[in-house]
Amino acid sequence: MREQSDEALMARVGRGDQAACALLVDRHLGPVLGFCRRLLGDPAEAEDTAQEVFLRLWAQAARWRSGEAKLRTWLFRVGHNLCIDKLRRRPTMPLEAAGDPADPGLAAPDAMIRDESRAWLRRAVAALPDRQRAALELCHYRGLSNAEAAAAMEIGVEAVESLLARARRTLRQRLRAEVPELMADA
Amino acid sequence: MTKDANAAQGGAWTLDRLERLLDRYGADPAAWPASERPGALRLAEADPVARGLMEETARLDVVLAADIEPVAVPDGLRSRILAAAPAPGRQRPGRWFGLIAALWPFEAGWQPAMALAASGAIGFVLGLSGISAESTGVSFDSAVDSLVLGPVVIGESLL
Repeated sequence: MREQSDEALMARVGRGDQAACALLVDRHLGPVLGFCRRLLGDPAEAEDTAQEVFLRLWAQAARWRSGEAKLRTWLFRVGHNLCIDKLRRRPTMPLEAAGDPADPGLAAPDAMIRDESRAWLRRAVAALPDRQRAALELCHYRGLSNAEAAAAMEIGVEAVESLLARARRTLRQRLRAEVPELMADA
Repeated sequence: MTKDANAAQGGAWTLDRLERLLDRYGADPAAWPASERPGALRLAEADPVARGLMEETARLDVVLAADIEPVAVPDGLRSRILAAAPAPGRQRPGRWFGLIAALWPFEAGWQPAMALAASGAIGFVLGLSGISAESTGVSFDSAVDSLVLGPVVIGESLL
């Protein structure tokens, strides 16, 4: 059976179709949750934020206009804004006190240390500035185009490309300095 | 080859430019803009430092690619979101009913709304009728009583 588009599902959600709601949640909750986890680094706070994103979607459903915004971009834009608000309200703390970032992909806690390069990468990504981390997460991990990421972050495409380039350069330089053996084995 | 020597020989292609290209697009030449490809590949072939930059970037690409995987969603989160989803019998209240519900969470919102409307109507009628304690000798309280309870008959006259 052909998969229904987000637009078609949103029209059904606006009429109170619970099956359409479930399909949209199953399609988008994982990526939105992963994005929030990567930005916030706190699994519980990320869950609350992802839930808030969908509650706002339900509130918009009856007034949703097809073609005005791509649903996926809209979800990440709301998620990004909520995460940035939470990050701004946080007291600043030294990086060492922040601890390891949350595993954005797996529920099992030992999965994070299963792979040395993954564990290192997640610490390094967590230490990136918020906007660089958001751009990397949207484009690399969530597969958005640079234009979609720009819409989600409400900045220009050039700015997204610049954030991505700075993030990748920092990661590459840290990889070389901190785990040269990983560079050789990768 | 130093950056300066490279710039002198290859024109615009420098290690800095190659590094910017790699940081922006990764190490796979297929992902680079076609116009950049020949010059960048020539530099990487001729310069061991440039080749090292490409290898570093390729390793970062591998590490990044290995970290992409589906996100596990806790069942409880999915259930909570779906419990709040729109349903035919559970349409969200309109803006005004939502405001009333927020201001008066104790019982049905029509009760305080009606009380407020009745108060306004009484004030409006009193204002239109021009009744005042000075002109009629009737106090405000007794005027309200007469509106709410009906006129009081004393002898043949109506107050």
